[in-house]
Parts: sequence; structure tokens; C-alpha cells
Amino acid sequence: MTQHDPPWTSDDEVIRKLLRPAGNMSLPPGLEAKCLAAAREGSLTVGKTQKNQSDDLVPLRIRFAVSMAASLLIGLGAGWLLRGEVAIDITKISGVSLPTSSEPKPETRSPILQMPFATSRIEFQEGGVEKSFFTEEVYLCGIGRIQSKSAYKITGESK
Amino acid sequence: MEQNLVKGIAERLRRRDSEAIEYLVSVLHGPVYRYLIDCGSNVPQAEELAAETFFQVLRTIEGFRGDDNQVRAFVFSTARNVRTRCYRQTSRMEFGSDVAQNVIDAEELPLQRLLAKERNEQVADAVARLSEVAREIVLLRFVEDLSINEIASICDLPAGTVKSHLHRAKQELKQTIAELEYPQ
Repeated sequence: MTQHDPPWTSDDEVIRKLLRPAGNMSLPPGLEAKCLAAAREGSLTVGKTQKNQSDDLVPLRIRFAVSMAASLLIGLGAGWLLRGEVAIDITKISGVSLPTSSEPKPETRSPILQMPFATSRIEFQEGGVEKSFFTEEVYLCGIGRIQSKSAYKITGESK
Repeated sequence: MEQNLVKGIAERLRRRDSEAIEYLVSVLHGPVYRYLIDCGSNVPQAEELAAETFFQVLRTIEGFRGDDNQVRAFVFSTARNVRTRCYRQTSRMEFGSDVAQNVIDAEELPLQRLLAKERNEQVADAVARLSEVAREIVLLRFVEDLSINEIASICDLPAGTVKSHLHRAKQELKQTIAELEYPQ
């Protein structure tokens, strides 16, 4: 009897007494020998079955999940390598796009700077006291294309 | 009440010690056979399943990580799995042939017949009326003297669920006992 049992143990004893005939069941002759032979056979087959068991230890579902995760990681890695990111030197852009004279030439009003990768683009616009930069980049990563657009606006007089 | 196996049995079985195997079989072949009979197997089936249980126990004992107090639960748990697998296979094979006959046979369990001999028909009926899980828990508790934790491990149920099943089953049996003692 354990300490977790409910208090009415006297009833337990009555039930146990009533069910006692079930515990006094006669066993068929030769059962013990049969069980012993089976147990010995089982103990000998341990080495044979161990290899198969180790294969079964990793279920198919887990194997599938691991292969999917590995594929995704490879895809993300490839995407990161091919993302087309370019370090922008803002002084260089300003030098190219800012007009040198007071009367800006039409071709320098809205120059488009082509970056080494076709997926990256910077546009500079100047109008009065305002200067605007528009950047547009397209990244290729494991889950597909990611397009990034940014706009920068500088207000105030430039020297 | 609860009988523990000898100290160090788990480790000796993992090493496939011959004497430990003999000891395990001598102590548990009867209870395992009884359990299988009580769960509804017939005599030849229970014999086969008992042997298969010990085969499986020794085949998988290296993977058993429990201590000496859990060996008995491990053996009964294996017996339960062996019985379930056999039941599934036979029901798949025999589906549509003798289903009706099996249902009729299942109504009268061997336990019921055994208890009926002792003129405890009402108790036998009360046990037979219990749900399959409750009956299994009652038999493991009161016939095999297993602890709540061992039964929980065998039936793959939380200890609380085992306790509630046992409590309800005892209430039903208690009522039957009261009717036996004080018939209306």
C-alpha cells in the first residue's frame, strides 16, 4: 500500500479478498519453461536487432524536418552571398550628382547612378533647397526576392 | 503488499545474466499470464503472449533505463504492448468473419468465469461492467498488487488519471459489495 492511497483501505481489503480467486489461477504446465526459452532467445537476439533499432530511433518525421531545415539554411546562405548589397560612398555620389554651376545642366538634374549590380540603383534629385536620394535594391535570398526602397530628403541651404 | 524484485536485477538483466533471467521468469511468468487472461485472452493465446512478452523484454532490456523498482512495470508494459499488437493483427485478419462470435465471447471474460465458481457472480459482473481501462487498473492493483505509479507506467496514463479511474471503479465495486452484504 502506498502513502497516496485513499483512506478507505478496509474496502480495498474487501475488494482484494473478493478478487483473490483471480490471483489463484492455475497455470498451464510448461508455461515457465516456455517463457524461459523465449527469454533466452530474446537475450541472444539483442546483438542482431541492435543495428535495426538504431535506424528506427530516428523517425521519418524528424529526418524530414532536419532535411528541410538544412535546405532552408543552404538557401539562406546562398541568398546572403548573392544579395547584391553595395556599400554606398555618399561623398562620391554627391560629387557626381551635385551640379557645379548655378545653372544645372538638364542631364545632371536627375542622374541615375548605376551600381555594379543591376539589382541596386540610386537616384539623386535636386529641387531648390531640397535634395532627395532614392535608393532601390533587390535582394535574392532563400525565401525569394526582397525589394528595399529608401528615400532620403535633405532640406536647407547648401554652401 | 507490493513485492519488490531482488536488488540489482535491472543491471543484471541488462548484462543478460542467466540467473537473473531465470529469476525474472520464475517470479513474473504467473502474473503476466494472469494479466493476459484477465484482459480477455484465451488460454493458448495467453501462453503464447506470455512467452512473447519475455522474448521482447530480454530483446529490449538494454534500452531500459529504469531501476530495480521499475522492472516489474516494464515487464507488464511489454505484455500490454504485445497483447495490443496481437489484438490489432488478429482483428485485422479476422475482420468480417467471426466478429459477432468474438463479441459474444468477450462478454464472458475468463475472470468472470473464475469468480463465478466462487459464487461471487455479482462481483464478477461488477468487474466485467467496468470500462476496459478501469478493469485493467483494478486487476493490476488488487490482483497483482502493483503501485499507482507502476500502473500509470504500464497503462501510459498520468498517476492522477489512474487514481480517479481506481476511485470510480472502487465506488462501483463498493456498491456491489454493499448489495452482497445487505441484499434488498
